[in-house]
Amino acid sequence: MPSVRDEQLLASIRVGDRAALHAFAELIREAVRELEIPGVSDARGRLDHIVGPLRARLLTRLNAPDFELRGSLRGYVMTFVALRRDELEPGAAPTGLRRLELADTDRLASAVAAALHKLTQSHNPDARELAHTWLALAEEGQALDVRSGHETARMLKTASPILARKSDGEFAGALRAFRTMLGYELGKLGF
Amino acid sequence: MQANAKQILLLAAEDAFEFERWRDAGPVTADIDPETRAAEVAEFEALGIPLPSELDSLRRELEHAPKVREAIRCSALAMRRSGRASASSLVALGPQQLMHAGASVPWGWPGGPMIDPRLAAHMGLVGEEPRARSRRERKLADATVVAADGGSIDAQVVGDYDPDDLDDPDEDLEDGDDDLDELDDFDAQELARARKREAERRKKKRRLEARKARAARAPAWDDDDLDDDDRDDSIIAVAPAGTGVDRNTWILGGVSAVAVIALLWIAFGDEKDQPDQAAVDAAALIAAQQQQQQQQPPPAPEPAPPAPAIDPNTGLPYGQAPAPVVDAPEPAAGGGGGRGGGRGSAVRGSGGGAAAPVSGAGGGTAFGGFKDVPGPPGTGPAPAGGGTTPAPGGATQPATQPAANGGAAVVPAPTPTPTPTPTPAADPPAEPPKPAVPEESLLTKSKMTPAIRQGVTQRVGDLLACLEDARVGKPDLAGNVVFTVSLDQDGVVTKVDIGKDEVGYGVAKCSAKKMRRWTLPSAGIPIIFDVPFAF
Repeated sequence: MPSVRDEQLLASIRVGDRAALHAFAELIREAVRELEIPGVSDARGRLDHIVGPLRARLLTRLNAPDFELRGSLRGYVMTFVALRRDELEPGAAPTGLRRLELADTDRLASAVAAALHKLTQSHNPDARELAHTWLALAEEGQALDVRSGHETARMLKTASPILARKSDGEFAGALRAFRTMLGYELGKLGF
Repeated sequence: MQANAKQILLLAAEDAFEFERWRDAGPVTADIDPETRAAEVAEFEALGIPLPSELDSLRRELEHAPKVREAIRCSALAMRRSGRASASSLVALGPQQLMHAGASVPWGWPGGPMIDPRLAAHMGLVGEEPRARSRRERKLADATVVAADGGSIDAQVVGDYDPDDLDDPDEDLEDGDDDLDELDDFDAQELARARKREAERRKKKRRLEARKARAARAPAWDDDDLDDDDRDDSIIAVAPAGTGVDRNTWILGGVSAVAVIALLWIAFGDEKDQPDQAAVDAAALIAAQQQQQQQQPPPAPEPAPPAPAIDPNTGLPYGQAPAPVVDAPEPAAGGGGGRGGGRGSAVRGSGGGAAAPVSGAGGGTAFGGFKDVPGPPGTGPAPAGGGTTPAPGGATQPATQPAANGGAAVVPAPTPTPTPTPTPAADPPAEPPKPAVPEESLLTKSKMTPAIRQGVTQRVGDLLACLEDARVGKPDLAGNVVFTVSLDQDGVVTKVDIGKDEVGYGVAKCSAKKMRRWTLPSAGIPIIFDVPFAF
């Protein structure tokens, strides 16, 4: 449960309060400094080239409709940055969104489409259903208002009658298997 | 391919790439967005608060994802180091169930949780000890001393304590650098060592429990393996929490009484050929003085006729230099063992704990740094074996008619034996303090207050959403569900149990999950009540 102060700050950030956004960027900057990431935390300057994209990604998360802050905002920011430490560290192997950014988006999109089509033939019925649903969402596309993969994954459950029948745990397990398979297939395609 | 479709496919790729770091974790982390949970775990770790059960299970699953584990550890360390995780989160977290007995240790910290070792000891986690972060804390955590009430309490090693006999010698490594750096070089070898240490401590705890049970059967302690005087030489124990007469006092008094009886018997047993009764052994006199001081000042039935004036400070006649204090002579045969005297004299800084009894009924204490808690009146030491009551004025009034054959150990008292005072002299020693009963178990179910009922009614929509979700697959879902809800004094739901579930299909579980996020009108006190629902 976040404190009232954090809730207020979060609400201000969501509505785009300028001072709150500035404070939020400072929060990210402090997190980057405190995490002692080699090559980043010890660099002089305001680190805007790191803090800016991080803030954009964090704002996407915070603005997601189902986002729920459970601890303090500082704790969330700190853990968010720490989870992406390998993306920030210069010279580290590209992972996560960095891997996405380094890839050619057109090629990646077609690779995902190929992988999803392949997964529609999977022996795992859940993976099959999820792949079908992803492809259906991509075809439907027009009305989709999502900004992150997490958000879309949450939407998948209501987009499929089979998945909607599943409990939270079952759906989470199915999603986990599907994500693993998709990542493996994309890796095989060179991503 | 449309542009929107491309974006959606890229979202699928992003989802898969982001999931890579969680992939090695168990199915619990397959939650759609586990980041907020991971942040919560990190915050708990930073604050050193034991995790609630649901977070604890999640954290155990996260242990298998190295990147997530490392991220949580780093963020928790950073928050700890900056001290910024503290106030708002603590307030926001509200009253938690701090720890339950047998709680497992957090995984992310080499060697154990960041719980104060004293807290862990009181919570029954002596065996699961956190990794000490400095030399001093390690010492606090290492030593365990048998308290007067028979339990084990923490102690501080202040002198030439040798940890080799209790623990791995490697544990005593000097560590002067920053404690946070210490966590970084954690490796498997150290983990194995920690496990070994834990096993030893468990074994020791079992030994202590067995000893406690033995002591409960026979109040007079016998010798055991803690009687090595040179080992106890450097231990100062923490004062026991109990307020009753401590066991050491009883043991010390029993030993003294037996010693006095034995010495008097030696002194007067063959006194037929010694006409001068005044020539009593000096040691017997001193011991008798000690015995007299430890006893409740009895009502003097008759004035002592030729007794010289006694210096109350030294226990000797005025003008006579006090003899160097020696340990209480041990009785010739059996009876209580030398534990009390030996232990008392072995404690550093005892200030004459055993040899110079502190004023008060309790006698000397084995804890040198602490004042003796004055016992209740009349708590003189009971004789251990013979059951004979020494004469109250035994030291200054030697027996006039010693036993002829010396067979009886009873000291004949020439004066009429004073009536035993009705004070609680015969009371048994105070019972050891009972462990505190957790507050949760003291609560009984009560009814909802009208305000709480209204609050629940307003939030029924959350539960109906769970039902509607489940009805997608099975439209005829219906039945009764009873939840047992625990509220704290602020109205925050702390626990929701499913008492009865006739619906199934995860409706009750989903509803309970949502109810755990509720904050209902406060009843002013923590309460537990049932919430029945008819879906």
